[in-house]
Amino acid sequence: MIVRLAFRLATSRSPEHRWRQLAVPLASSISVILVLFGSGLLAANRRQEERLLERTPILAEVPSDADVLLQPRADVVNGDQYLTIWLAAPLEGNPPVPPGLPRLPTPGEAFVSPRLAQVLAEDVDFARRYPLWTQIGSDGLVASDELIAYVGLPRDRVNERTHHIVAFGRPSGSQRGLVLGLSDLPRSSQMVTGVVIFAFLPGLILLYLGASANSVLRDHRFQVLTWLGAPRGTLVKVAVAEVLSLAAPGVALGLVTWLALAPKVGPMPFVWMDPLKGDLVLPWWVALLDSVAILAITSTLAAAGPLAIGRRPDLRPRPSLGRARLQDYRLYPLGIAALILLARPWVSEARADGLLVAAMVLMLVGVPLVAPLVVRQVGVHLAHIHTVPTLLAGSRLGWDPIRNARPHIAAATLVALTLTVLGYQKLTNAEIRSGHAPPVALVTVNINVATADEIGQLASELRPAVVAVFREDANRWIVGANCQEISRHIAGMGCDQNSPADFDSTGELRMSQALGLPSQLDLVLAPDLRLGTEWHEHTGSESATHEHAPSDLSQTSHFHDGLLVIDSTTSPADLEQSVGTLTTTALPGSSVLGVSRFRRYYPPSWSWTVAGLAMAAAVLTLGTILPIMDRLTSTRAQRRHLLKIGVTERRLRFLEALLFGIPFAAVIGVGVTAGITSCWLLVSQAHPPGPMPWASIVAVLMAATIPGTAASLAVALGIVGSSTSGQAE
Amino acid sequence: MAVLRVENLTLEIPGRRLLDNISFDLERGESIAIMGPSGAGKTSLINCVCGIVKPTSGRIWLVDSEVTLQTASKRAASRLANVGYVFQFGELLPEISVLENVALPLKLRGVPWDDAERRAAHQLETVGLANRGRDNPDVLSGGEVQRVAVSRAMVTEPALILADEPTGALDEENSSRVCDLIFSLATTFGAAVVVGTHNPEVASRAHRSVILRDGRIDARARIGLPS
Repeated sequence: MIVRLAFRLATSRSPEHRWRQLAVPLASSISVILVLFGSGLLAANRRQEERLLERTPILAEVPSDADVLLQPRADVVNGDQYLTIWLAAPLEGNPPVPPGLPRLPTPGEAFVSPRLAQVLAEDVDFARRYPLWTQIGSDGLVASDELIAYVGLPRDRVNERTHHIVAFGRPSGSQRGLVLGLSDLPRSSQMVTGVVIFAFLPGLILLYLGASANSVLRDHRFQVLTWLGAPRGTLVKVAVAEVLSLAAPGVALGLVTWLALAPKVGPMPFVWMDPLKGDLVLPWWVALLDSVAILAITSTLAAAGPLAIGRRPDLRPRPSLGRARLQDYRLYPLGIAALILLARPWVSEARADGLLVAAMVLMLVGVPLVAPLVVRQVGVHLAHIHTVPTLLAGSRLGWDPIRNARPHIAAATLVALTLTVLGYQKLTNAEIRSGHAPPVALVTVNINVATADEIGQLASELRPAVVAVFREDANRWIVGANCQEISRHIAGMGCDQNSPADFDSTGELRMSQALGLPSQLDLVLAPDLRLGTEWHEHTGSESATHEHAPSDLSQTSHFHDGLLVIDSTTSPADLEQSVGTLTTTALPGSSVLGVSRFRRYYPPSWSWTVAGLAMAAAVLTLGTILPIMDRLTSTRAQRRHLLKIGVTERRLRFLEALLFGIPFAAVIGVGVTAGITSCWLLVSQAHPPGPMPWASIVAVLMAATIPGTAASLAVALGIVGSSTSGQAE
Repeated sequence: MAVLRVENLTLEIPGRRLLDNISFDLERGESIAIMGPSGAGKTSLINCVCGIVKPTSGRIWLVDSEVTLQTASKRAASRLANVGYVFQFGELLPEISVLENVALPLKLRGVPWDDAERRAAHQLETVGLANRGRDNPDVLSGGEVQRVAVSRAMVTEPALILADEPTGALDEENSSRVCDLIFSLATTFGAAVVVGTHNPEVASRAHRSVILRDGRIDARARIGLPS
């Protein structure tokens, strides 16, 4: 009978229960999708790691002619870095082949990822780099959006940095391998943290909101059972059976939806994760386990409700309300966040990003906790205004600020999240702008082997650009050009009046900035520097230069030579593109890096923050609707009481508008404060710090306040509100 | 031996004392009417007695155990085992049939299904509602609801019947009928009865009456009436 009682309660046609009948299945459905999505991300990450491992080139212990020679390089197309893997076939034997390739590429031939193939098909200039290309199979890709090319390399175009490869696959035992990927995949622990915080947690919040959806009918049933002396176990059984009757269909719907969607999900821009289609698919038992876990959590959350009924003063046979207590712990998250922010100047740069994320998360957690405190203060002040509605509204807000703040907390958190995302976007855009639009069109070319003729040919094809050899060692950056040549292309760069080949006092700094060199590296001009030659700095009148043949580069491993190309007559992107196209065909094994290599590195936590904020924002949008509806359904009895004591409908509407609008404004204010603070913290991270996105902030504020204001007005005008016509059963 | 013993019972909420030093005993088969104006503390006293509300101070013994020392779950178990509660508005559960409502306390006690329904049917028969067992409570009249509520309170043959304004929502005829049922059925199995009421007619059925004023028993108004 307990189950029957619960089932009939769950399926009651009473209007008092209708909201719960909608909220529980909806919340459980979305929650299970979120949890399955999170589990799917973990599965996708694991599959990506496995594919990355499976294409690992295994280094030869002893080089031989049977080895494949491999040279990984980073190149750039349209501002995006991509991985070029130059491969030279062995002189003898059957060569190992990377997964996804039918064979090794011959010189001049390329196997490219689908995303790169798309670029080749769309970009005529870029297509000149790889006139002969074939698409890599999906088993050779880590991610669907991956930019990677395996390119054939003539065996005579290798240098000492070329790797000897005996196989492709998972390294075993003492084998050593190379990781073939431009950016590291998130570590499993990072993935788990991200998924827990940004997929599982929002799912659970939503689940909690759904499972605790208000139902006067349900409260009454548990009240009666409690009066009759029903044991706790019975109350819990009824509660669990009732919520399961409602949640199970929702979970089933969510599960079916996920099973239908998961195989079709590919790249996800917010997560910056590009799984292949099918990567998110979970084994059936994991999906089932997740669904069962959601049902178990829903049951646990629901079971707590009836047990608390005995402690709820308003549900005793004769209510004896008490002023709600607000504990000090509500201030802890904001307090800790403030301490973290105060401590930031003394924290190392490596830890600063993590601490900033922690502070922002704490601030967001602090919003719902602090909001009731603010509502109580506002209520106390409102009660001092001498009109009946303000007295009643202010007193009620001061008496029970938690219940009055609750409907707006999700909206406030949403506002705070949105403003945080705005700040993050501002930071990212600032960084990307600074990366894409440098003041100087300048690229560097890493080369394996080149003759003076080939460099001369390149210089003539790139004219009027300056093409100079550069050398990088531990302390210096040496450029084989004179100041006058370079200064024609770098605005504001001055040369020494007495010795025009050298910088003046500002010249070195200006060029270092253009190259994005760290301040600890010295920049030296050496017009006589040649590729692969030893060079000693002039000291007084003495100088010594010993030339080697270019092919002797392999003997000089203590420094690294490349080409520097500067051209003020074209844009950085065009220069990058044209140099890349020329060198890919003319200097096999080379790679071109523009200023994009100086882009700031973002730890994975940042991408997860954006992903999580977007996810949480979407979830909390629903979370906003749930409690507002809850609030409206729970005020019917109060309306009846006030009408009975002679409060007019008009005053009642004004009172309800105050009870809706005032906490809304107060709680949203808390969210806005937290959000603007987060936004400011992020914007101040940019180098140089950018302006606050005030226009966007105002837009968010308007988007946030208009629905609340409209709702308050609608309540005041009697367009929406709690009906007093229905009677509790 | 006293079924119920209340000793120096005091209940306070912030700023107000609802019950002040209440003491009384109730033997098996004995009944007491708690009278008094609204707000005098009648419901608070009944809620303390059955363990729904924990008093601020004082002691309550129900049958063999001291309620005031028990945890909430022990008090609930004690209520289920020893108390039948008749509410002002019946408080039946509309999702289940009349018969199931009456059988509910038995089933909560773990009585086998068939046995519980048989005893519930018999109980309904004694209140004249044998033919309404399969109906849902929402089709019953106010008087019928209250008679079902009495049946539910009596079906476990508890040691103590608590009735809080059991006739407050009924007309005179139904009021009289419900009152008869409470006192006569309680007598059949020797239950003690505590009834909170405004109605002197109801109070006159009890062995004793006390009047509560501002949470105190009015000493001048102690009335002891023979059965």
